[in-house]
Amino acid sequence: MHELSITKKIIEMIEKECSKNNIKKPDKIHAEIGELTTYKKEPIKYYFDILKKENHLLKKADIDMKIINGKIKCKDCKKENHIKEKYLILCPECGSGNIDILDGEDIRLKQIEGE
Amino acid sequence: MSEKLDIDKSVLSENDKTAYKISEELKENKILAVNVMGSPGSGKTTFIEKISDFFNPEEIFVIQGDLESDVDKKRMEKKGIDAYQINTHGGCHLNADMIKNSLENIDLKSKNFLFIENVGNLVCPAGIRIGQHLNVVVSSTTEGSDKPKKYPVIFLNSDLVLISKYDLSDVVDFNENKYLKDIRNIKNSVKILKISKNDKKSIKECAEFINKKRRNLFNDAE
Repeated sequence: MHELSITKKIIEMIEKECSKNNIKKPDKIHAEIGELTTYKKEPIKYYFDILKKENHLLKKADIDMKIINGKIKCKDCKKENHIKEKYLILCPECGSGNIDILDGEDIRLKQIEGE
Repeated sequence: MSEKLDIDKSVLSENDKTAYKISEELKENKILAVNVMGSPGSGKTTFIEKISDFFNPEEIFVIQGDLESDVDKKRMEKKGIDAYQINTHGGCHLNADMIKNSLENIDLKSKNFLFIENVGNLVCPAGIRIGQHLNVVVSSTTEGSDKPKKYPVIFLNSDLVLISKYDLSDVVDFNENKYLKDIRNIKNSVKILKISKNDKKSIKECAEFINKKRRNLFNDAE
């Protein structure tokens, strides 16, 4: 249920971009999903495959979703690192919990392949 | 011939843009928006009822999010508080558009605080911006001390964690040390307060914290 609304949003964006760029037959959609979001790639793909059946434009399209790892910057020692343990967000260099999240919090539509 | 069209646009950004507009509109009216999240039955509505005793009922308003019914709206109205009920009919969290539509029904003049009670859920509301200035998680002792470890995202996104039903900790064997350690590992900077609905002092502390946040947001000396 949770991923249904975001999948609809992704499809809405694909439709908008295809219409703007005159793509009539998209066949591969590339998207990124941050590991720190509350969304998972499998249910998005699941809903995409259901919704595309009802969608003339996307009938033949597949979606490929790449996971983006969480990246942090420590406000104390200033070093940047990938998160080792997903929700134990401490700086691996100095152990500080005083951090900024740089990456892994977004879902992005990256590329549309088609003609 | 097949071509590759580069897009690189955020899917969450449309919601975020609306959320940003809401947040700014509320700021212009000097209203602090508080997103109250937590499991069903954690005590979100009771918290809002109790904290309202430390404010003038006319300066606050509440948006209630539930799958169905207007039970919570009625509870607020009983206390003389303006309230608007959103029914998501199955949707597991509120989004910025829902808040935008609700605000059209509310007169913002004379208000200082907006409490948005999100749909009871410890997972989905966590990452969705709805124009709030403050994220509060109500997490009760009766749910168990393993909740931060099991549902970290919501704690990661919180500014204030309220350990509610604190007067029941002994009865339910709430392991406070473990709970606090797990939260600190997720987000060291988060403020944690212990509350019980009949302990006025504990609720007053929350009201003071929220009041201070509002003053800081608006650099208000009042």
